[in-house]
Amino acid sequence: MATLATILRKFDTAGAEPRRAAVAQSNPYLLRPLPNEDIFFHKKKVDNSRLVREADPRAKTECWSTIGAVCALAAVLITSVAPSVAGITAGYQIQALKQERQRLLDERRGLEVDEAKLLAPERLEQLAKDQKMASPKTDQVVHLMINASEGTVAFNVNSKKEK
Amino acid sequence: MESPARTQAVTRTTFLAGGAALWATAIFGKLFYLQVVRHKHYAELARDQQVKTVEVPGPRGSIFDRNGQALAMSVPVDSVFVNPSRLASLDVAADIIAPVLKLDRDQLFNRLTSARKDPKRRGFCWIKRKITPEEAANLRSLRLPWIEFHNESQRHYPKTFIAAHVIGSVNHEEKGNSGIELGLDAELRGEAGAAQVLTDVAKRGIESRLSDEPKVGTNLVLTIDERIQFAAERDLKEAVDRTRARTGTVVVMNPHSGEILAMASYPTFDPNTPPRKGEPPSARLNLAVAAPFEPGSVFKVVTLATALETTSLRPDSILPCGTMKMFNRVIHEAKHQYGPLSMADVLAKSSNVGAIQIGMRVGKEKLYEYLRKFGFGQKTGTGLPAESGGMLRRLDRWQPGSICSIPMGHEISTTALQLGQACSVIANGGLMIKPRLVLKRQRPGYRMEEEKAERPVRIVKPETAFTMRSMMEGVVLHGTGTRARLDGYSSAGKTGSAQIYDYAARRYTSSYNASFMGFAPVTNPAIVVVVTLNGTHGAAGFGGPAAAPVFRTVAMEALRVLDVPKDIPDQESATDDPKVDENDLAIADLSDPPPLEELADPPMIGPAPLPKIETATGPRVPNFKGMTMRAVVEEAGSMGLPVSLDGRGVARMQVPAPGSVLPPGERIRVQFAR
Repeated sequence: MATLATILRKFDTAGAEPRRAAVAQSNPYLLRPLPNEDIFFHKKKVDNSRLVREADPRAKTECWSTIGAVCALAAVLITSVAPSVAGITAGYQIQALKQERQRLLDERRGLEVDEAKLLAPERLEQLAKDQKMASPKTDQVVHLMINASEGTVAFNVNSKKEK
Repeated sequence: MESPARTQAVTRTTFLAGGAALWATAIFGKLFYLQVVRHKHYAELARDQQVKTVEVPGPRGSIFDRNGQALAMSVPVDSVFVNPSRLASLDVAADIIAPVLKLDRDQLFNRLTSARKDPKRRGFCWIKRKITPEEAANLRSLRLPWIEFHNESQRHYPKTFIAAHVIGSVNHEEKGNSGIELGLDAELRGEAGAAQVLTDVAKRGIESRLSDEPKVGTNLVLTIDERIQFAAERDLKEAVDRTRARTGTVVVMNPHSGEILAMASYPTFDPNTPPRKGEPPSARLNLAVAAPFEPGSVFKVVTLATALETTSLRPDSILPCGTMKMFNRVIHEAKHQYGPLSMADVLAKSSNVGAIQIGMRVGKEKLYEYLRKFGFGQKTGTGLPAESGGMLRRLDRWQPGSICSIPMGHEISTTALQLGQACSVIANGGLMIKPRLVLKRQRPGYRMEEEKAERPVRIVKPETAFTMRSMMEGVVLHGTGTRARLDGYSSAGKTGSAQIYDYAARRYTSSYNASFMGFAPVTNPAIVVVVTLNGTHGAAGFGGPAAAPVFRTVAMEALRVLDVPKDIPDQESATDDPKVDENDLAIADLSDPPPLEELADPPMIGPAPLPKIETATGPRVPNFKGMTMRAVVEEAGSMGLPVSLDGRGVARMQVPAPGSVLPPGERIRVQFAR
């Protein structure tokens, strides 16, 4: 894999490659060299403890000004972008709710059709026949008197409402 | 002098800066090209990707009965289509889709293949239209992008056969093709709109806006009561099967408001299914408004009402009803020979000779005038398509024999609804009320609004209507319509039997139009019921035995449903009394020279004895004493009580006495004096 070190090494050790190749050719038992084997680093100890940063109030002010400006800019940016982001988020929610509403409306219509099918007189009559029920004969129908007080609570309530 | 190394560095820097400037220029140039020069093009491309146009459903209006029961509703459904040219393998596509949608795999494959090859199809192929929600869910769960869905609407008629002829049906594009669905199609029809939806990469909606407003159809509430409608259809079917008639109709109306409570036709159909091959055309025809017929003897009601209005004839006026000579031929009853009959008995026994004599007393000008007033020869205007106005010849085209035929209900054709309209005039005290089917309307965005009824027009005097009520009650009590007697309710009506004319053979046949029109209760009618059975045969096919029982069962059910209080004591109704004379056949061929056809119909047996009526309940008679004639008529009219007026001045005496119960079939006799 080409790393930065190996790429740099190509430029730095471009001249050394043929030489190492020649040595390897002459001595077949020599091991393959490691990368950057022929680069040696020397650590030189430098004592900077005596160095003291000179106080520079102007630079400090500039630094704080820069930080403040960046923060202000960030705040302005966030403030200006936030409504738009909130709008988009709300848009997602509104769309989802609209779809949900439409789905529920459709479902309700389907259920209304199912309800109407279940309440079809033909079906009800068949159910009644299965239960051995019959339509009341005329003499079995009792019409409640509006003025009657006992036993006609529901009728009286209805008549009051009508009034 | 500068060192060569510095010069070289400056040169390099200059080249580098130049290269960077060129690079920046190229980039900005390209940006300018894309953003400014080609802005429109790329904006459109972006919009195509980000903005999706979706259909906003505009459902067709629903139809309800008067109690809010849904009779017709549209429910959104999905239809499936594919672009065959986008499919890598039609084989695989057919294998995947066919089992989910329960389609034949080979047929689907053939359809996809032909759609791909056909350039006119433009890469479009319906897989299946109006699939069930379960099928749609199963198909969506496959998550295949090449399967596309289109929103459509499916019309449902949840009560199947109930009021099928009134409601009608729609075609596959949800356009009405019969009934109210066709008659009020423009109001009911909805139109889908469109919305532009801004979507993200995942095609989720961010924002939407209506680009085309959808039009939602108007919801309608009909005057039909599904319980009465069901009873009418059930009893009609039973009667058609019993009498072996070809077709039949029942109309139930409120005589005061003109609201049609039930309108049944037989044969019927299921509006949820499209017409089948070989299905008789009459099955989808609303016979009650679209099939006029010669009404026969029920028409005598109109003749007699006209006579009461225009002549001095009264119910007790005696008419010679044996035989009569007209147009060089002897006319007699179809089967019987009556002696002198009162006008009331002419109606009760359905005497043809009596009706002819009454018609001649009225005269053709007056008769024609009143026929028009009663609405014959004109459409009722219910909004139903294919409505017939019936046939009533212009006066100048009447034949010499027309004045004899029309009073008996021949040479004129009417629909069952027209008969109901005419009968309502008698039942409501003389007012012509237009029948109506729409009770309420709910336009999109508005609340439900009551439909205003047309203002009624008085066409006969109240006393004429009350007298006719009384005479029609006589038909049920001791005439040809005893089978129309109700338990606990007084009823009135008229039977009719008319021979059917065979246009191919140019002669009257021996099959009949049996009919009955009547109302109940007599004192304050709540319903008018008209029953017609087309194509009955023999004695059992006359109006009395065939149609009157249907009136009885339908009226009983309707009165119970409408919660109408009983007005007479419960009694055993006359059903199969052999002594009752039910021959009410009108003479059909008076206008044609050939002699009367002998009819092999029921043996003539004497008139039935008057039934005993108990008078325990009924309306209370008000006190008319001291009132003027106008005031008496108005008060009696408002209470629905028949009165008989005699003398001039103010009311001095009345029978029955004030506060007593008025027996059914009786009228209050008021004597006036100055």
